[in-house]
Amino acid sequence: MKTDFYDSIVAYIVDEQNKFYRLAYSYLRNRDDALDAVQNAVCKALEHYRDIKNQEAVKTWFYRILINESINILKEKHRLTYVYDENKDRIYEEKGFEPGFDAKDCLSRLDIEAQTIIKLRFFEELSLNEIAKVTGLNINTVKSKLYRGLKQMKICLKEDEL
Amino acid sequence: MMLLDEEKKKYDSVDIPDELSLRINAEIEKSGLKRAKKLIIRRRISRVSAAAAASIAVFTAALNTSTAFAETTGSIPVIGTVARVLTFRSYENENNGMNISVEIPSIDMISEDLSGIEQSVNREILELCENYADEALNRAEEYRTAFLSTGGTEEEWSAHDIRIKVWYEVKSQSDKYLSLAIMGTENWNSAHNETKYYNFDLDTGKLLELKDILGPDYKKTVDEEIKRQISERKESGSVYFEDLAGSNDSTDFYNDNTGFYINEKGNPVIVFAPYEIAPGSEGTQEFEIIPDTAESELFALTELLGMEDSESAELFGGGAENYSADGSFYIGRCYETSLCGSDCKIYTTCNDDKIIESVSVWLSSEDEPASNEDMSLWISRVSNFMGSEPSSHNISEESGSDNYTWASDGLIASVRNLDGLLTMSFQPAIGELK
Repeated sequence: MKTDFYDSIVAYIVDEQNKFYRLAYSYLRNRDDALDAVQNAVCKALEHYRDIKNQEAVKTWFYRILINESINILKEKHRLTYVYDENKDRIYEEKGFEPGFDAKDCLSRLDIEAQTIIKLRFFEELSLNEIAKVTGLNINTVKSKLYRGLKQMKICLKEDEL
Repeated sequence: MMLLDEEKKKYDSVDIPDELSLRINAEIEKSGLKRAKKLIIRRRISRVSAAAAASIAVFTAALNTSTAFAETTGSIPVIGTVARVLTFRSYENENNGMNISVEIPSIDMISEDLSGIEQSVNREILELCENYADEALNRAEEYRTAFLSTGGTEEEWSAHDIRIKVWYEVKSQSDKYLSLAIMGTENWNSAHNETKYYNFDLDTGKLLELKDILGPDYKKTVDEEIKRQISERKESGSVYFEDLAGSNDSTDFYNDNTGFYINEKGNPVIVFAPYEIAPGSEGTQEFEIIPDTAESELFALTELLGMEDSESAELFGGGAENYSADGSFYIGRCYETSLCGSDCKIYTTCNDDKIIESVSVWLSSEDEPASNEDMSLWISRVSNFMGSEPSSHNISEESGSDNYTWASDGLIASVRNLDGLLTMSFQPAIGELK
């Protein structure tokens, strides 16, 4: 008698739902949007669970879906602005500016990838390996984005003191 | 990173709206319905593939308690019941002379906190039963096709009286746990009979594993017990599969997939299906594992040390005060109780401040003196408890008593045997009374 991942995914989602809400909320800062993001992510997860290869992958797979859904809502609500990065000669997405200089605002000023990495590391306490899987980036890239992001935050916070 | 510590605190304290779980459950329901539809379609296809004989389906979706449950445990306590097992779906179906009856249980947890886990377990049970029924039916139809195409007639087929049955039994239930067995059988093919056990911890709603019941050493305990019982059974004529050396000694019987249920006494019973460890003629093999409580009982004794005499009055069934012969001097208390299943007397002695400073246990009595085996048994229990072999062993010159002592972690233990009078005692190493 065999069972597939469906039931363990449902259990995982139900057990960890508060965490998911908080992560979505950290992007969207709005109760209804955060609820929508989580609901969409759950819906997608339950439809595509067959993509998972093994039990261990469930966590990073779900986080990826959730973050994508959160960012999608940000895009829909036009709260992401695009900025051209001369150094890398490409466009990257930057979240809409929050006025003010506290940690939350400085975090929100980082590009969305750096924000995600910092949030997953400090708020959700994922390992660098897990973060690499969630973001699809190489682990060295994760590290450098992480440290660069933190440096930028420090600079931003110091501006408050000027 | 101090920088983000504040942020993390704010992050962790974000309020969770009540609506969250509603929305999530709604998605789960939706997706569950989609899956159920797929299952029904699959089943219909496999039945339609049979020859065009009318099929009679009696489909009852009523909720009721299983008759098997009522028979096994008598009445269900109403007050304090934390969970119930209900028959979620039961139906009987006759098709091409094959009879299939399915009774699917579901667990109803009274506490709402556990509803998420309960849901996923019930879903798993539902799938388990339906998959088994589907597969059994497929096997039956293949058999029928093969039978007919090799010259059998429909009449001969009907005489086979093929019956597929899926049902369940509640093995035991208490306030703390629920043990459920789900069985699937096909009467022409016992090799595919299956039984799956679900044991729930009703406090957490999680499935119990053997290590939750028997502790982290469970593998060793289980293997040793099973080997011991197998040798006993072999002596009365049972036969078991053996390893290359012709014995059962190096076989690891238990793996994480081996099923077990919890019996009425609260002990786990490991179950091996026919052919797993013995020839089919030996049938299903069950082994009850009685957990060894020595560790925790000895620990309870050592807890007395350093306790105030008044605090110890009600323990171990109540202790009688013990004064010196002239009544002037308070010695301690005496408790008549049992340890590890055998009767004993526990004596405490207190210092001037009425704090217990030693504990002695009389493990035998004049009527029932201790044997050498009793002594070895207690010695090994104390060794396990203290975590080491005895640190000294001597025979006293004055009394002729046989003494073993252990010392570790500020505790001194000893076991003494004086011509069948067996005593065990514990005291703190000098100067270390709490």
